[in-house]
Parts: sequence; structure tokens; C-alpha cells
Amino acid sequence: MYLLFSTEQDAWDRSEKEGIAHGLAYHTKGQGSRYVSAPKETIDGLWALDVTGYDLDELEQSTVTPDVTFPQPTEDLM
Amino acid sequence: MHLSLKGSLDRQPLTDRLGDRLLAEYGGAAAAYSLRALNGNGDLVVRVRRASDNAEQDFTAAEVSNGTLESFCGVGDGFVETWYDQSGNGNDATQSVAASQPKIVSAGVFLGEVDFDGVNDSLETTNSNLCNVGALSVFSVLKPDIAPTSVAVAFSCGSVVFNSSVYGGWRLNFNGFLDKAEFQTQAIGSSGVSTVSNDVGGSDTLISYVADFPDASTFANGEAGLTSTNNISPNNNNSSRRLFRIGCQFTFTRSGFYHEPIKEIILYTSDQSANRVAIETNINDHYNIY
Repeated sequence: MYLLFSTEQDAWDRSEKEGIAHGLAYHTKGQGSRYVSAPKETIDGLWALDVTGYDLDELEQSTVTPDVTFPQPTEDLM
Repeated sequence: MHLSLKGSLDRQPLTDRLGDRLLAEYGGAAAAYSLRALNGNGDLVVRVRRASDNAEQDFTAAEVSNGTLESFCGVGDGFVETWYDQSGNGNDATQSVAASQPKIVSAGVFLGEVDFDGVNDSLETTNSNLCNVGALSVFSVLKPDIAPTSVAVAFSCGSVVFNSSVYGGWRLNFNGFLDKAEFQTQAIGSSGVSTVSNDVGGSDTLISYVADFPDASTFANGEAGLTSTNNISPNNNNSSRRLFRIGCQFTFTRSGFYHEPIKEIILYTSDQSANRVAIETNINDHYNIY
């Protein structure tokens, strides 16, 4: 399941917020894991964040989507 | 007081024995990743995040193999946040995204290798100087990814993409349709790709590549594969795209994710043809691959 963001930074910010909630080491010790998942750019120019396992609020729960299309390098399509 | 040398040696972890002093004997490595002590000392080899509470800890080779790592992870999984560079050049390979970290402990059991999931796992250095090189030697122990796909990149600088002139760099790729390990180079601005390859199976393999461009040769478990006298000298003019990465390549994004474990990678930005057999012997003496 994905949340879609208009900017990459917004997606990273949401991932970091989840990282803080999960107590990742960067946020507790100042070194190490910082984000829970990484955003990927969609074919539409939006940024999709895999939020599987995230603690989503009601608004987020209403906007998650399983349908995201990512661009691929030519070779990967061979 | 009487000391038993044999007794002392028997108690010494395998990873600390003199035979593992590979980097001391064959110096000048640009980057070196392993779970054994390549300098035969107490250097850190890996930083692990345990899944149970996301706590992280650094480990030496001895601590990885003597149960300390497993104790840290308990009955859960452990993931690699940093695979430390033992070359002394500080080219540590890291992953700050928890979901993209390869696994090293599964359900409390040390895997003995760094296991990549083929979905999004990768490790990344901040070094962009390993790509545009005039000579390159690579020694790696890994399980070949021979799933039926044409692109599975064990490690890379930049990327190699056929029929396109906007990519460049070098990579160790596995072609599962042909069951081949392919060491490939490309220069940005040209659609040409150089490939030297070896036939591989599905078990752990020592892949070696030595090049003094345009001459290049590859070996699998010490056996020669293809040799080329017109290998393309790799080049990529984008310093962020050409970073050295493990578990993928980087086109405009991370891609070609690797789906098998890797035990060791040692890179030289020099031609190690003269030392190749000795380095391979050192590696095989440790892993008993062939």
C-alpha cells in the first residue's frame, strides 16, 4: 500500500516521522537507520511511499492506494 | 607457567587466523567488505539493526562468528545498516532506510553472509571515484542470482544499459536466462557495452575480474572465462549516480536489485593480474568453495 506525495521531500519527511515513532537509531542515538521506507517516483511524477506497517491516521488510511506504476529503464523491460 | 600454542589457536575464532590477513599481504585495496577479518585484527565489519526493537550495534568479525551477534538479535531478525570497508579508505556501505537493509540474521540464526531480497535492498557508499578508472580488479564471493531475468546486479558503479547512450559505469551482472556472470562496462555518451562472462551455477562462487583497460579477463572459481582486448573503459559524469553500490545499479534510480547473498567484495583500482591466483587462493582457503 502506498501514500502518494507531490514532492520527494514530503515523502521522506513522512518516512522519517515513522522512523521516529519506531525508535530508529538515528533518532535515539544520532547514528544509524533513519527512515522506514524509501519513496519512489511514479510514472506520473508523484512520489510513492510504501507504508506497509505504518501507523496511518484516518486521512492517510482513506488515501492509500495499491495501484502505482513506476518507470523502468529500457533494459529492465527486456 | 606452561602455555599450549595449539590450545590457544584452537580457541581462536576462524576469522582471526593469520590466513585471513589478505589485505595486509595484498595491499592497496580501494574497498573491501567481508564478515571475516581481512586484516586479521579487530576491525569492525558490520553494524546491525535488530528487528525486535530497532537497536543497533557494531560488530567485529570475531563477534559476528562467536555468537555475540546472535545474542544481540535474540530470536528475531538482524539487518545490515553498515557493511564496513576494511581497506582503510572509509568507503563504508550503508543503508539508512530500514526496509531496504539486507538481512544477516534470520530468526536468531547468523546467515554467514549478507542476504539481499531482490526488491529494494542495497548498500551505498559516498565514493564516486571507483567508477572512472583505468584499471580495475574485483574479487567477490557470492551466490549467483540465476533467476530468469537478464538484470540482477550484485554491485556497481553507475549503470550499464544496452541500447542507450545516457548511462555508464561498470557492474557485476547476472543473466539468469543464460546462467552467466557478466562483468560489464559502458562509457556515457555511447550505447556500446563490453561484457566478459563466466558460466555459473547456483552455489557460492568466487568471481574475479582483472582489467587494465582495454584488456580484461574474468574468472569463476579460478577457471578462466572470457577475455577481451577491447573492453570499454567505464565512465559516468554524474558523481551521485556513479557511487559504488552493493545489491543494485543506479540508472535514474536504483534498479536491477540482487536476490541472493554476498559474502565478500574486494576492489582494487589497479591491475592485480600478478596477484590474482594468490588472492583467490587466500579467499578459497577460507570459504572452501572449490
